[in-house]
Amino acid sequence: MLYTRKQAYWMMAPLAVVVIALVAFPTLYAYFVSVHDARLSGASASFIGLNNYTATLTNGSFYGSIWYSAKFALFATIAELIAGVGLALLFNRTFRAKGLFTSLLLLPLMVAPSLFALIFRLMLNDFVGVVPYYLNEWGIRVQPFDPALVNTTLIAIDALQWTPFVFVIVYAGLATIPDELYEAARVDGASPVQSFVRITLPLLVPTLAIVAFLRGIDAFKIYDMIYVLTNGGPGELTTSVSLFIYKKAFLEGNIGEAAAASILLTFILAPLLGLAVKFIVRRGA
Amino acid sequence: MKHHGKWLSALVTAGMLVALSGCSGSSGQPSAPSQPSTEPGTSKPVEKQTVTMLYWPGPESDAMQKVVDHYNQMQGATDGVEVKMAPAPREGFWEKEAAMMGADNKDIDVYFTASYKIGEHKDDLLPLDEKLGDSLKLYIGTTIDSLKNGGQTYAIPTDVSNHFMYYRKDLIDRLLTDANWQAAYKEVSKKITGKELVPKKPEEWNWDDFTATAAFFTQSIHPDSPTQYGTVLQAKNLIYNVMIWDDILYSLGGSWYTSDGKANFDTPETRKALEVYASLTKNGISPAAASTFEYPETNQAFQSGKAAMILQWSAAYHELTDQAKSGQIFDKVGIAPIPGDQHKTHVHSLGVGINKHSDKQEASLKWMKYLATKEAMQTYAENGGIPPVADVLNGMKEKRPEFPAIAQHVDQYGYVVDTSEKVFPILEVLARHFSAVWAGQADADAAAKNAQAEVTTLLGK
Repeated sequence: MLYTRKQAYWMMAPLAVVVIALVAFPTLYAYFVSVHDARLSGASASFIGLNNYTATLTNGSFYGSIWYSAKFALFATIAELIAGVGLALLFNRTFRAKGLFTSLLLLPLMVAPSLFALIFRLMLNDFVGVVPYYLNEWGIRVQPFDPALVNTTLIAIDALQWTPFVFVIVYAGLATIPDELYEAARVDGASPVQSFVRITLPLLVPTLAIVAFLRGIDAFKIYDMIYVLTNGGPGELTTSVSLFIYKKAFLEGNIGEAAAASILLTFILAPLLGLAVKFIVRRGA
Repeated sequence: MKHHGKWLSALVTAGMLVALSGCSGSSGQPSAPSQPSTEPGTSKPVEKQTVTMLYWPGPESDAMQKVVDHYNQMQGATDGVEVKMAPAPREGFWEKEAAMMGADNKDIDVYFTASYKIGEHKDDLLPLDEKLGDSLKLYIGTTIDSLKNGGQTYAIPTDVSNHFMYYRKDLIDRLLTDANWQAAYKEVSKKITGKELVPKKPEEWNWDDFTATAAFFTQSIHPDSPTQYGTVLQAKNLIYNVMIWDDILYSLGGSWYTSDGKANFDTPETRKALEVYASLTKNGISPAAASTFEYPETNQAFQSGKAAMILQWSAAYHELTDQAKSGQIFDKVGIAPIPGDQHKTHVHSLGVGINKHSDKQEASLKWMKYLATKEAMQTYAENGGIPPVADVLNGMKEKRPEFPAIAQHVDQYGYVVDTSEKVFPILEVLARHFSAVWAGQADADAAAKNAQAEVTTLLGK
């Protein structure tokens, strides 16, 4: 039975309503709020035009937080890619209890980021933490949350949680590479390193591009872990853009400026995301 | 925001109410339907009204539930009122409550509030001065002040928070009697503060004494120290940590505002107060990682015997003197006023106020009148609350030894920094600028100037 175009529209209508309700309305409302002096305290919000945008664009903390998020995303993604690829190569063979180890490896993915951060807040605690205790036993005096080390610690914790995600995708990518290629390379006298550089890596590029893209976006949005561990401090040393917007909205109570910051962030990121998607599609093709 | 925000506020409120509809009393049993009671002296049935009180979960809520249960069984039956507590998660509590207030919600009759929120909440709460009259005299004056805005009281205080200096009694006692330690103390104090000091009793300390004593009990400065650190600061970029640092500012004669209400941070007092924290970090007297510490970490440092003294909320006393939780030091905990040439402690209160948009204001007022009695506050205190009622606090010395000190310190040294709607934004500005100084990452002078500029903009003065 063939449906007319009109009937098809009717069938799509419920989904369209849901999309409009869940996406379009909040988006439009955010634009609306961004041009008003909207406050959390419930005071009457007057129309102030582009003042919120001006305030955000002249706020050094806004740029600082974007810069921090970008750096965090870059280093965290690189660390996760290196560790994830390494683990995938390690697991891309047959060994005893492989299933068990794979399951264990994936455990961090099952934990909520804020809870994961809380676990490390305790484990790395100077006074009751298991990590400093054993480091002290071995004569290593280090404070992971010292301002000089805190960013390394945050990236390491993020990597511990998200490396399994990279591992799963890269492992799946490795499984698609035909064994015949490696056999041919071995016949030609290629070393394992040469095989990796000349065969594995080029064939993994589309997979790596996708996983780097996904992790990059996610790491750029980092919020929960920083909120739990450092709350953006000391000062603004670890303030990500998500945390900046949260504090603007819920601590300073300036909903209008927070909405303006979110919208500006969208416009700043849109061209970069467009280029990234274009690259991925081209490499994938 | 109020006018435009009703759409979203209504959505959030609807969600909250769906959640709340599934909530029940502490028993976990669904509330029984209201039964008509009988009006005293007559056989005329009185329709019982249910008053819904929003509260955050935790020890305060557990204690309040006992007061509610008692009221419902006794006075509530006479009043024709039944109180039902509606818990909302502590995480994000204020944001959820703000959304409900923004929607002019009528389903909550009594709102939970705090000194640092009263300025934001006042437009949705009823002034209580005339309605409760002399009942408000039950409370320590500072705590009533902490819930006032524009001269009107918008809530009654149920819990009071202040700060103590906690110290190891055994160590300080030895310092005050051991000649060898006193000689070493002189050297350490000269090295760290530039002054040759002699040990004093903790209640007589100024910030030089605090710094010198903390340095003496820091192994990296004084290797014979029994503790690793002299103190452990709560130096995380967090508004509640600013509240503790404020004690130093006020004890040095500083304040948030000038007499005409302008920002007052670009001052020698602010810089000096910042330097107190900065020098403790710089000299390793407090660990560098303290830049991520808040309430629990500071407690853990003290409980594990690795810190000789801490500046901490009064609520910690119960935990620090509990043998099960603090086995190493539970019997060695002393408390003293916050050091300084003049002792000062931040005071804030948690409290409850009547929703201006509620249809059950009279019923809510009956409950509030009961709550503002010594009997209710006694029940609250006996079940874990810290009500700011001097008679109640002083009367529980045996069970809660810190209570008389809370009453005394709040009354004598307590100050209320601000109850305007600007408190949270200002605290956020101060946390952002000052936590960098505390951690040795920024200059005190620049931070004071930046805070001054931003707070001036916030105040619009």
